Amino acid sequence: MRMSRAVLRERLPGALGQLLLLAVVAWLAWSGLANFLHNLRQLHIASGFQFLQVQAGFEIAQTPIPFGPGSTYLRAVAVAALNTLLVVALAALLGTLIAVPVAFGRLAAQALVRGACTAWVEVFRNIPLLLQIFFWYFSAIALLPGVADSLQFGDILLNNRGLFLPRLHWGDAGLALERPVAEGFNVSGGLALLPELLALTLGLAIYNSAFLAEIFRAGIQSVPRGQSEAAAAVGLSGTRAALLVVLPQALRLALPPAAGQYQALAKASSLAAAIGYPDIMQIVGGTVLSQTSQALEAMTLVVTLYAAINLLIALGVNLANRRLLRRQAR
Amino acid sequence: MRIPFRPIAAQASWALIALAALAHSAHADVLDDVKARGALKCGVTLAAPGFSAEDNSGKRSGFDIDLCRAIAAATVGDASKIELQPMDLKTAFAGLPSGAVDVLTHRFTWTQSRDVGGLKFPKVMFFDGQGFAVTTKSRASKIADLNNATICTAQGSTSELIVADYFRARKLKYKIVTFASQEQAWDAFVAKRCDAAINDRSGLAARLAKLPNRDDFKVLAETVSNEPIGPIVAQGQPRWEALVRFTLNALVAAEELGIKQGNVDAMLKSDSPDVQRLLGVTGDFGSKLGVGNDYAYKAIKAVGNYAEIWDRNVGPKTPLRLDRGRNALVANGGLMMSVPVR
Repeated sequence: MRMSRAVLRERLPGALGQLLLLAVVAWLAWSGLANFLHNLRQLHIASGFQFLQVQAGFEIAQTPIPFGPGSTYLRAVAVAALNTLLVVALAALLGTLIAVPVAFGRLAAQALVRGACTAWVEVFRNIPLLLQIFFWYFSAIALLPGVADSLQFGDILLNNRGLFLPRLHWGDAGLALERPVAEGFNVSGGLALLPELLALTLGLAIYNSAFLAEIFRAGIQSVPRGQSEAAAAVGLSGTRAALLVVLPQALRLALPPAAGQYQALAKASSLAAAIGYPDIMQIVGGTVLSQTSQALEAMTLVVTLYAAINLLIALGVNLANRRLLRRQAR
Repeated sequence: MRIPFRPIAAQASWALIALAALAHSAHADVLDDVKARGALKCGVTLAAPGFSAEDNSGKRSGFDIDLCRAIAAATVGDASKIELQPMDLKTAFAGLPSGAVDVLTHRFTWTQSRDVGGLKFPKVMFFDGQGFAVTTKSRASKIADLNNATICTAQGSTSELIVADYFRARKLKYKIVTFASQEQAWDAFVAKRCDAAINDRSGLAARLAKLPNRDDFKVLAETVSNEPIGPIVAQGQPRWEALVRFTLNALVAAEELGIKQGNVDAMLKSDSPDVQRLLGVTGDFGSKLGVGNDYAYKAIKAVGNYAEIWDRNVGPKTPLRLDRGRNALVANGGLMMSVPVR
């Protein structure tokens, strides 16, 4: 009893201080919110999320799920979120595929390979991402031909309206291949990848590949040299040794910082608004906000969606990391 | 290649304005604020030649700037006491209610949802309509030819909804690419990302005037909408709204009465009761607005009447080459008229 009183006396000032701080923060948050709602009422601006059920009335360039001017704002938000997920997934995949060989290349014995990979990292890491995105976007539009003069590779069409791939399609005659056809102003049929999607994917993937390559290189260098020498001793080729022996061990160190890089990539995808790619920032923080005037609600949605996407990435990487550790513990 | 960095700055300033809205309560009376400050803050278009554009020395001028100057002259007595803040749609609509600017002398259309959404349009100063720009070589000679075309526009603009409604009603298909600002949408159209760009006809004229290869582009003849455009004030400011309305009204009334920048001093001695009331020689119209009785005199002295503002900035002798058209006085077959000053 005497002991706990002494402990209490020691801890009480700290606990009181924390309580006081909490009260101040809560009061600030409450008065800010109350003031905001008061101002909204005075300006006759509606509040709440009822607007999500209202017909949106606009079109979106890229719609993974069916969407038209008759669809609701809620569906527009869903389309925007899917578009962000699509570009983040594509850019993360492509960025990783570039980063792994660049990381090994930075450690290669050949001076030319080493130099080229170092140049890749230094150039793309040191140019602002927004500039790189503009570069890919405007050079893509400027260099690609119009629809009438589309470049054709087999069934694939490439022009300044995008990259058009054939796709499998359930028709009257069962599963059939639908080929893109250039007609009039645009290409009909097939799967369309917009120039905005291509430019944003390229920009995000290449910029982040430079950072990812450095993270992977650090991981590779953390694997004791004896491991690759042992792999060579049992007769594995250089590539097989790298992929089967070195990389799995390197990933253990590289995955946590790589997760941070993938999250940075997801957040940077909001630069899409600059080139008109219909992502969360562009649709929800732009069109929905200005049409409904409900800035607080729209920005809350934007914040929540980005937080959710980044938590998903963290979850995915943590699961992968746990699996990796368990397998290596065996 | 021009690299527009604006959207990031715009988003950053939007966030700042949202914070400001949280921190400050809606201000009491804008008219008192402006008089106490001794200067007027106007939100303007970033770059629209003829309406709001910087010359080589960095001085901003144009039709919208003259309206800002007129309101400043009427309120604080000096047309040079203005602070111009270039804004895009997002920053403007968030910034006006929070007090970042006193008035938007911008290019925004008066719509029902904006009017009931906290924005008040005291007087239409420009009757516009939307049109489509296409390349001269385009296969489109009328809007119906644009089936399946790709169209560039700014997000959240009335254009975005007009395209949706117009094409849907006629069962035409289209693809839309929306950018953060009209400037970016236009850049992408000129770079051939789109088959057509939609904007107010005045906006199209302003942008075409800037192009070195303007003959490569044309504007389709049809006008697809009515776009009444004028300065905007925040809702809940009746005194300020009235002052802005009747300052703008005075510019139109001055044209109707033949009062010009050059003869406004001589007109003070006019025998016409209409002129005497407008210029404050008789009556107390100014003090009932909360400013001096000579508010209209000061505005006209600073920028001239409506016709002079038009001719100086966008008229036939400027690069925009705009006829008065719908904006002619009612007496001349147009839509522009003043509310009686009596």
